[in-house]
Amino acid sequence: MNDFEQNLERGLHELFDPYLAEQPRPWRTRPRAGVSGRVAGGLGGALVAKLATGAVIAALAAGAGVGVATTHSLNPVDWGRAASRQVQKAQPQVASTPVAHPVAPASPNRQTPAATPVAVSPAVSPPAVPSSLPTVNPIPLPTVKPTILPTIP
Amino acid sequence: MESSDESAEEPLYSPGSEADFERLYRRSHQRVLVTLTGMLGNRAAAEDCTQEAFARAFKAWGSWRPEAPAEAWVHRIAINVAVSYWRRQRLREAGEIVRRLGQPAPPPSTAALAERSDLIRALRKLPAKQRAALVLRHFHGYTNREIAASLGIPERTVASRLAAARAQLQAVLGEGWR
Repeated sequence: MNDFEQNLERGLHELFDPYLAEQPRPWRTRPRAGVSGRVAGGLGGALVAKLATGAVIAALAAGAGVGVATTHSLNPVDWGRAASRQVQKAQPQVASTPVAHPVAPASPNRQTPAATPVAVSPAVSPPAVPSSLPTVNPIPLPTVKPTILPTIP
Repeated sequence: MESSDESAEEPLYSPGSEADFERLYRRSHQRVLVTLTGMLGNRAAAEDCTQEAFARAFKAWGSWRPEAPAEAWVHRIAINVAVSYWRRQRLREAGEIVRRLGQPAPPPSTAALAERSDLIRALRKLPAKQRAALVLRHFHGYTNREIAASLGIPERTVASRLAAARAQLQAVLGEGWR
């Protein structure tokens, strides 16, 4: 080894020996994320999104299945009509069921609406239509005659 | 300052073992950083390239074969990363020179001031792989075989490349250097 090579080695060691005394940054094979990061990001996020989509589709399919089984029709409009009919059938039964009204403390001077007997009638059932409607005669209106005013000379 | 662990023979590694790669990283990181700083003349750029090189090495760790020393293998990846960086940098610098024609030169950065050694400046005038060869031989003490593995060139070419690099460096530094 000649003088130049020795000088070169000494120069390089003066420059770079301090580098070797330093500790390298800790090695990480992959970035570490928190629990939310792991779920929201990457494969976890994709899996959660797929599961959620699957659950929604399953719920919709179950609803459609019930509709088809009840109405024997694939048309969702028929499912809606069947549901309306069921509601209308159920309403008279609900109305005929006696309702227990709360009794307010009696007051001699004042009658509370709760104390008065309330006629229970179906609220939404149509009124019975009589076979012959009574005729109504209009009341004759009185005619008004204007009074004659005296003339002023 | 090398620890006893670092100056010992290269330990055995199993390709694909994450624990072994971590050992290789701890043992070689600073040495690779030195080589790349010698090549690039800029510590910040050398740190970026070293990280990039170890990330690439980790991806390829399963395909490493123990016939070549592991550190020389990592050096080869790192030198390729640094050469690519150097080329991009030179293109960018050329663009900057054209853009700044007729304008005053900007002041040198703090990092550049810290690396304004005569030796570093002289090294920057050599081709990138010659710089790497000089650092590998005269700082790390690599053999011709290890340098050949690091540079991806035949072993018989190493001696002639080193001789050419030393001659050019001596010409740049001048007879009176040191």
